[in-house]
Amino acid sequence: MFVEVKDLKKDYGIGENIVHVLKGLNFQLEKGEICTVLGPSGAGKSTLLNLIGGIDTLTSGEIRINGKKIELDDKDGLLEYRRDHLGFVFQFYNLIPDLTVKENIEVCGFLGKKSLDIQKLLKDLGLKEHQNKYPRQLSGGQQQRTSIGRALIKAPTLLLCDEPTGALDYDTSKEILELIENVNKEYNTTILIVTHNEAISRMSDRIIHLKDGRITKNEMNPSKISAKNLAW
Amino acid sequence: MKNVLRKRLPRFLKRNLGIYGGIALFIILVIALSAAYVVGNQGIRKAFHDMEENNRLEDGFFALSVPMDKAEVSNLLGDSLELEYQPYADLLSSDESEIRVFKMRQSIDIPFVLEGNLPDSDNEIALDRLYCEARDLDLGDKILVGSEDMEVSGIIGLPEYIVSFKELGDLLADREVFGVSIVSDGFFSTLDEEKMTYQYAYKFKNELTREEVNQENRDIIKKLGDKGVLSDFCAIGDNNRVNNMISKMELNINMATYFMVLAMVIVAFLFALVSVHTFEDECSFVGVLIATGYKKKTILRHYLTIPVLVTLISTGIGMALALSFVYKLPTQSVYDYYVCPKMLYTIDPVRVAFMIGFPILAVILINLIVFGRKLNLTPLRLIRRDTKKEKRVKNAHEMKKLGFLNRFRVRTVVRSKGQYISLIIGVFLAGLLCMFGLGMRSSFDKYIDSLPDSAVSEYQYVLKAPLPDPSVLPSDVEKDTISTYETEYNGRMLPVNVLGISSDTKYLKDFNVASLGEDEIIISDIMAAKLGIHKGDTIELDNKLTLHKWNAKIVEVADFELGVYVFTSQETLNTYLEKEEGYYNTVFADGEISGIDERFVSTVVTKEKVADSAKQMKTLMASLIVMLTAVGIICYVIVMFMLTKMVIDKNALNISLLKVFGYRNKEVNKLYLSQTQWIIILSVILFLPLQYFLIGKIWPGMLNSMSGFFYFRVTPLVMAIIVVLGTATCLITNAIHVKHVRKIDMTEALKNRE
Amino acid sequence: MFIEVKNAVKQYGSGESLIRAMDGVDFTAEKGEITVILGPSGSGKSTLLNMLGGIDSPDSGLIRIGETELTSQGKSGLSEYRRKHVGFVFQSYNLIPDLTVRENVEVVADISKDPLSIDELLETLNLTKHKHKFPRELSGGQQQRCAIARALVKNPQILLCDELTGALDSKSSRDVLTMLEKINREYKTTIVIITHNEGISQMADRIIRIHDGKIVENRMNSKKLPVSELQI
Repeated sequence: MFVEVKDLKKDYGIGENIVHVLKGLNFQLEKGEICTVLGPSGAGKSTLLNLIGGIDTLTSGEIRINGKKIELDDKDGLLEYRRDHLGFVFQFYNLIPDLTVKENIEVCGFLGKKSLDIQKLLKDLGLKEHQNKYPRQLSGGQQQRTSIGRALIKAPTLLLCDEPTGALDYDTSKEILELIENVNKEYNTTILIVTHNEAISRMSDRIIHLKDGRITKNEMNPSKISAKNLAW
Repeated sequence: MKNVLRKRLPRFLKRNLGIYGGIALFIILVIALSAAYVVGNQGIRKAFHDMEENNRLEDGFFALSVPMDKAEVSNLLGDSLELEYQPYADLLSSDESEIRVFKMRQSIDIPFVLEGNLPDSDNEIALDRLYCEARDLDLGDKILVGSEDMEVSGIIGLPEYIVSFKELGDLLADREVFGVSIVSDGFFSTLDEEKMTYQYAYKFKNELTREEVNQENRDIIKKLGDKGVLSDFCAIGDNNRVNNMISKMELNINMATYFMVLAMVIVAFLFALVSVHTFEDECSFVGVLIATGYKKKTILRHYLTIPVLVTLISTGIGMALALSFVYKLPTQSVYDYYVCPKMLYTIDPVRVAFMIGFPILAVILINLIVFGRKLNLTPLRLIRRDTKKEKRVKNAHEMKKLGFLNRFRVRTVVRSKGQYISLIIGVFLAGLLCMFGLGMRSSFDKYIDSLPDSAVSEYQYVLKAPLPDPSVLPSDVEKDTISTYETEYNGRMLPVNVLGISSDTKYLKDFNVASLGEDEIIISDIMAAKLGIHKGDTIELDNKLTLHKWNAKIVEVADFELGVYVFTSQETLNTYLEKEEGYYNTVFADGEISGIDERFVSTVVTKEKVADSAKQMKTLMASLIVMLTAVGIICYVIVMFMLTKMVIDKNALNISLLKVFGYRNKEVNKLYLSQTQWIIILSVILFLPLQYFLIGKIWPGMLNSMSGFFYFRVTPLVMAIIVVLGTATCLITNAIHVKHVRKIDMTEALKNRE
Repeated sequence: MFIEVKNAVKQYGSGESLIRAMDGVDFTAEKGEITVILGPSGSGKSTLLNMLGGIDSPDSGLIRIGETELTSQGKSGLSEYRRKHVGFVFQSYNLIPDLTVRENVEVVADISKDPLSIDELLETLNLTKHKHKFPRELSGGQQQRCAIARALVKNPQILLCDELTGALDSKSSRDVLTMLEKINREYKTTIVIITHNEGISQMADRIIRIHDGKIVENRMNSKKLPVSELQI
């Protein structure tokens, strides 16, 4: 098991206003799997991602990555963990507006113990000619590709994607998903995608359905297709 | 209507408590201080002017060399004067202190009673307040006066002895050794008439212009002089015992006002920053509101509410503090040195309105400008946060040579150069305020330190006339002529000391008066600085007594820190004063000269006394200096804190993001905050000369009401304090805030990002 | 004709970077119609929408909505027009972060003469539970629903939606579209929706396709489907 989640609970608020967002999740991922977490909005998908990503603390339960437990209270430990292992892709890109494409990617390249060759990465992402542009000058798709580059530069073991195609149109969405697929193939990165778009789940190895803070279905995808062939 | 938007206000305030709290505190401090000084000093000034009228302050006094009765004097001087004979004797009390004893006045210079009452019986005495305080005397206490044991019946003040200088030319009033008093007519009649000073106080019966007053005074001097009975004379305008206080009041009021104006400029600037900051945060949903039909007016009102409220409340609190008890601070320091009637609590509506109105207007204006302009953009641009003017985004410079870290830093500074420019301006202004406060103290200190050395000699005797028996003077003294002229200065006449240097001068050899023509003068650097005049300029000096109008050209500006001085040769001055050759009226000596007939001495100045007088002034201004220093420092820290915080707030999202990626706090500091710190530290240091220059420029204006002048001086210690304080504040703020940013829920930060 | 657009032209930039966002657009629509505008990103659909809403003006051409000729209005005229008649839903929700869900809707209700019942509206959009929460406590989909409620509360003559379901899962999308359908039926609100989701276009009365600033297709939809039958 690469990712192991045991009885994960997350609450917000206190006393009367307490909200149980995640009510005890259990699942596992193997290394190199692409896993899609589906669910309606408010189901807790983003929360799950944030917990696995160590940017939020769980209320109870356990998360292990590659056997190592993510400690609840250890802010510094969480930081190191994210630094070494994780790449994030957000729905709204979250690029740093003052930096160019190349620099936005370099920001993370700085951190990792290993780092991919940036020029090759730019080429693979189709961003080589845009590398000195600012995010404002790019289209949504280009920005998202930059964001993926940023997530990949340190060759993370785990890539977490929160609605990566949410803000993109159909054609661009497919391009991005193909890119993600390639990453998985080339680097054997474990990928967790959170989305409400069911169609996307068809390219994944595992599909988890989340509803009202609980997993309602957790199955391997019997008919995995390549991103190119997705349609919605 | 529009109730809902109002619900934002308390929440907004809560979120931005640090910043608005900082501004509020700043305003409260500044207004409390300035208003207190203005109210306190104006109150005293009013009390003084009321007393001038009610207690019939003299228009001048003269002393006769022989007793003459009033009718005779009145005949001699004519009808235009009201006279009162006010003889006095200086009696010894215990511990070598002297008490000047007057009998009760009927119509001029009527004493004001602060406690108890004027003497009823012959063994009672009413003494001036500060003398009593210095010697720990209370009502009912016994005191030795001459050879009599008298009882203190009252604690009073004499209108013409606000500062009880024993001699008019004195620089220092030492209350432990000299006081003034009123005794009963009975007691007074027991005193030896021979030991008295035959002094008359006079008042003009009619209202006169300044020219007329001068003329009348000249007449008095002439008439008495011709008769050969004039022994002393002083018009009230030249009387230091009274003038002294008023000019100090003005000085305090001036300083406080300048400080307030400077501080308000900073407040306006801070509000501008906060407004821009707020707007940038909120422009996208402001755009939505406008898109959905909200009027620009409504939105403007919404954004004006908090700044106006904060300003209004803070000025209100500051004013309330000032008017309720802070005003007592400046008045207390006045009471410590002057015996004057108790302050009349007056609120000058104009000034109060100014102090409250100015900040509010400034705030409204600034916000109208910032928001008004931005709201003119189409709602679309607001929603897209496309608020900058540049239409085209140029491709970035690759900057290959710098490493990633440096490129990042340069990038962030260049992209948000607006932010950094504001930061630098803020640092400049805040430092200006701090230097103002700290510099006041160091200027005084330097003045006091250098003053003794600027005295011409150890001892200076100012005589009423050349000594009849010159053999009393040792051979190595210098005999010069000194006179007081006036020159126009900011709408009034400023007294100028004119020193005619003898040809065999030993103390003033550096002054090249021998080569001066009749209408050429050398002036002191102090005079040049105060009047803003230079070598080559011509000024008009007027002598009230001789009516000499002297148009003199400045041939040299010489270092002479003692005061506002003009130098010429003794010959020239004697001629202008219409005195015989060889006339002198001031003697410079290395030591005390024994054997000089006291009746001919107007005043004795020693180096020590010179230093003490400066110390006195500093003591008088002490509370103001302390307040300005303290407030200057506090405000400096507040502003630096706010500026640093704003920069961090602006970058909070990016900082969050970096933390999500796994950046450690130290690394975030390196990337984001180090350039801020460096910019601040460099600005703090590099601005010092400019700040010094600017304050130096407005300094003469601030010292306007003084008849003298001293330079604005900043010691290395002051500069070090400014640098260290600014740097420390910035570093500490950074450290606190990076930690604080850690606490921002990263998920929240990311969700709100478009 | 309720909506009339004649030869609308809008350009941005100059010289080399001249962009013709609208290159002579003509179309009309009747009152009470649901119009869906399809097109790839950068085709000019957002620009057109903004014109219809009076938050942007064309460089030349005519735009008339109902009684109001937008192109001859000054700023305050357009403001009045928007206030009275237009509801907007943008792609990025733009909620006021320090007001609760209910208050965000109230803000608009405050300036409408005859607003709908806020609580009913929130109920329809499944937001009653979240009425007193702040936007940061909601998921993306919930925030979008709040933004929609805000647009609808003034019961506008014309409702303009820019990718309103972009961030929503299919269930939420359906709920929202059903609501639109209801409003359209009951109040005869004219609705214009921009989307790249072809499935949604089936609920429209009129389908317009825009490409490179020009309208390339403008047809009435003979196979109009109720929302429940849409393939989204």
